[in-house]
Amino acid sequence: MNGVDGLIQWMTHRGQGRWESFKDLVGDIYAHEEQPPKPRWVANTLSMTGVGEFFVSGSNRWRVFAPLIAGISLGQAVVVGGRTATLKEQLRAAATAEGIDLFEEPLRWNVTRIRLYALTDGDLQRVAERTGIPFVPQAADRMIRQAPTLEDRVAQGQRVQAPRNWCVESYDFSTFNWVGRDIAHSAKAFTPSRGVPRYTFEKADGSLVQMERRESVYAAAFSQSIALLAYDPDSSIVSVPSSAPLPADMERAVALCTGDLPSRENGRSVFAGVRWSVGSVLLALTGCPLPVIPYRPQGVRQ
Amino acid sequence: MQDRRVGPRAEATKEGTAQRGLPLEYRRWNRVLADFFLLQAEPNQDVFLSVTPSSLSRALDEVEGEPLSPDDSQRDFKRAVATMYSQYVVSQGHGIGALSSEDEDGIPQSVAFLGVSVLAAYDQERDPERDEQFGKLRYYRPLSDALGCRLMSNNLPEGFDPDEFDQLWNDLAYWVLDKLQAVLDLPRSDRGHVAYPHRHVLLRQVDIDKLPVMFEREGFEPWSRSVSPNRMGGALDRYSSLTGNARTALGDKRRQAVIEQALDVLNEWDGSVDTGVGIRKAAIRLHLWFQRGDVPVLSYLPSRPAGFPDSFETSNGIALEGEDGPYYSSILITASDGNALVDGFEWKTRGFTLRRPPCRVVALSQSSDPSGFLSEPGLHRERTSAVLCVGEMLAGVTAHLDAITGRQNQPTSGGELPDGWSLFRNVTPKTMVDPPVGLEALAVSETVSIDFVGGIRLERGRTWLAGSIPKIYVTPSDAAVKVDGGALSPVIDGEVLSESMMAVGSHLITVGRLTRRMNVREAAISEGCTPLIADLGEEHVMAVVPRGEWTLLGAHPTELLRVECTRNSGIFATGFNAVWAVDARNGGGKRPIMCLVYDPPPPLDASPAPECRAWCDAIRRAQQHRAGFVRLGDARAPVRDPQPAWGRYVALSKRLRRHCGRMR
Repeated sequence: MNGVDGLIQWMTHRGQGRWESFKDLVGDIYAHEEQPPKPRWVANTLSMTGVGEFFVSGSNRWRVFAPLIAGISLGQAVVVGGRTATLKEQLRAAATAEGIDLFEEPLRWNVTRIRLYALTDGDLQRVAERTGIPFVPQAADRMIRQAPTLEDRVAQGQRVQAPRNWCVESYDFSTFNWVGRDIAHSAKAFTPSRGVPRYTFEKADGSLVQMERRESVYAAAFSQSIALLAYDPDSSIVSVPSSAPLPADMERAVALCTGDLPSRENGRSVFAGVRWSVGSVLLALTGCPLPVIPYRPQGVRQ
Repeated sequence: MQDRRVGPRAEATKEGTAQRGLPLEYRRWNRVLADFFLLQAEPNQDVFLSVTPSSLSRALDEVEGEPLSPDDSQRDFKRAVATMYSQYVVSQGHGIGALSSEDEDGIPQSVAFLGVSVLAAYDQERDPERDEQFGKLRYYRPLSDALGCRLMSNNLPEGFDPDEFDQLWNDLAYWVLDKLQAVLDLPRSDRGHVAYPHRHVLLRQVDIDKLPVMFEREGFEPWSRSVSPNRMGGALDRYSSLTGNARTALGDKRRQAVIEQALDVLNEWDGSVDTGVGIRKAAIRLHLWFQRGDVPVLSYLPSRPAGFPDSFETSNGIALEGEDGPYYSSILITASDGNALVDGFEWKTRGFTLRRPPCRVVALSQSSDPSGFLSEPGLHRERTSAVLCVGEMLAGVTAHLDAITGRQNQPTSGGELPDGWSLFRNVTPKTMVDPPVGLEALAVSETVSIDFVGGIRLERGRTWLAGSIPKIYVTPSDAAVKVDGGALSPVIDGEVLSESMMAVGSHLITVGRLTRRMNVREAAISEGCTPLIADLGEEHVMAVVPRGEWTLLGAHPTELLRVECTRNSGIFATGFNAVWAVDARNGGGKRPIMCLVYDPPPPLDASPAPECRAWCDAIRRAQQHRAGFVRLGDARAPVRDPQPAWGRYVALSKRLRRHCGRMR
């Protein structure tokens, strides 16, 4: 068992916990590596791969998702959620019994992901029945459709006052970076001299709503009709500025279209293989324009 | 005054009838208490059955290696005794005198019962009028609560015989004298039956609650092991807030036991103080760990005792979040923290204060939770520690460390260490040398300990994930070690090496009289895991549309929803699969019909009904103003010509409208 597998098992056993305990364990696990990753990077990878979510509702807590066989395309799936040694053994045994292929592929920071390749979704369903882990075909579609809109997230956020004597940073939509000044109606990070920062979004009336860091940026972009996200339905590619990653639940859904992690190109995070059924909802959730195409009757392909 | 001497002992029956009827849990606690309070006695030593929640917790940990909090230990202990009392004494009608029998190892079965009688006295509230004059009722009420039985009309617990109670104490004292050649302290004066348990209560709950105030006044540091018994004794003598009972104990032959109890409390004190004026204080510890194996990383680790707020925010920009354990989130110490560490500081928020006392030398002991090193006054022989000190103390500290370790110690400084401070790593004292004045924090004590370092701890307590067990170090490093009661395990530099401990299950590590239990288990899936997809059974049906006022139409003539999208795009829950979006605005002008799917399905035939009217009207209006078709999405996607499908929708709507017209 590698250390990260132990980390995932620990998280699965606990179900939820505080950021500090996660950070400490990550520090221990990578302590002897020449270039250890930051705990936040490991958390992002675990979040994108659907193991769990971090900074739940803007708090410093993490929680683990229940195991799920998430269908990617016909006969293909990845296993998301928490996992244990026993669960992995059960999956291997079930995959062998059903004659389907199971691979544990390495991603980054020694995090691995389990992929299943079968001929049909029926084969995957039988693995699900043998292991007791639910199977959801086209899981990315289901996930993106349950994501709240940014308006709902703002409405659910807690109204707060600007803390006194804290440093303020804002997200600058002209440079797509966090800058050390107060920009009206943008996402704002208040950092105490010692301790945990707090993220807010300043509404048009000047009131502050406490939100999770990523959501605060997208809420500000949404309110100003700024399209941070680019989606090309022709190439099925979604990209966002690396400094403004998608809110975690949307990012998970997008990454689950193929099961691959995003690549980095020209300062942007690029997700490939995002089908229209997921991309269109993503555009709507983030307030981006939808591509409207006139129908030309002369050809099937336009 | 009448001496209460150890009298002739009632006949005890080894493996008598009593013990066969005693519940297992009671017998277990009886053994734990006997082992912890009695069996360690030296010949001629005074022994006390001073049962408190903390001593129960320590007893359980030392004897069985199973850590439980003081509150949980007390609860578990009382439950075990109450179950025995209810079944064996009350229901079966055995007198309490039957507990004088011995178990299969020759231990009297009365120890746990007498222990609970002491705990009842410890819990007894202070009588504001008569202080230490414990009334019978005042005592028997908590005793009957602890025994889980009724208080009878004679003000005694049900089934309780005071004479048999006296006899049990006498029998135990005789056994201690006979078997251990030690002296179980009994009250000298004839003050009634309740005097027996009260004699063994050294410091009552009300006294222990006040000790933190005294610790703070005396400048003792939290978790300190370096305060001498003489110094603690003087502090207790000066402290006027103790109850009369405690003062009496300090003045007689129980003095040493009282001092030891206060030292134990100090050893576990986390620095929290209730000042009595609405301010609660707690300590900030220092935490050290080594990144990449050798880069020191120092943090402030603020304690979070029970009752402290979940998040701690000060007016000067300190913001801490409560963690799962007894601490707030840690804060990295940087080079600029040098002076703050020397001068000490306080962080305050409504009624709560976290403080770091002034210091120039800090000892840091190996810790398993959190892993690394934690500030704690004093060093331990044969146990690896680290030491931080300011530059002006460097020469003295180096000389002292060289003396106690028997080797030359080289400090490091710079990097991310606080300015003006140096760090000594791998300090393993070999000899006990009194520290010079000013270096009391580096006094070496002789302790026996078993430390678990690293690994992946699955649960609080000592449960680790199989395949990720901790390293186990024993102090002193030359101690004889047993694993699972078996042969000696090899110990190299204090580290216990045993393959058997990697196996799933429970393992006992024993060093001298100290036992620690370590559990190794596979991870399980927590019931608290959250579903990634909220409702696995039902799919959310929704449609995305661009800016505008739209009527969304499904294949069935009752499926219609009017929406207004005021943004670039919007997402709407429809409850049906929308096929078309037609412009919903009134007025003239040509408008395209939007096909929302790649392959529009034919309309579903339906009987004419008023519910179909709006659907039909929307299609008619769209057909009248039609300016071709548009769609959303991929320009290159293979799509079916929507025209024929739309024609069928138009035809159905016309037919339904005709029928609806006739119906009207």
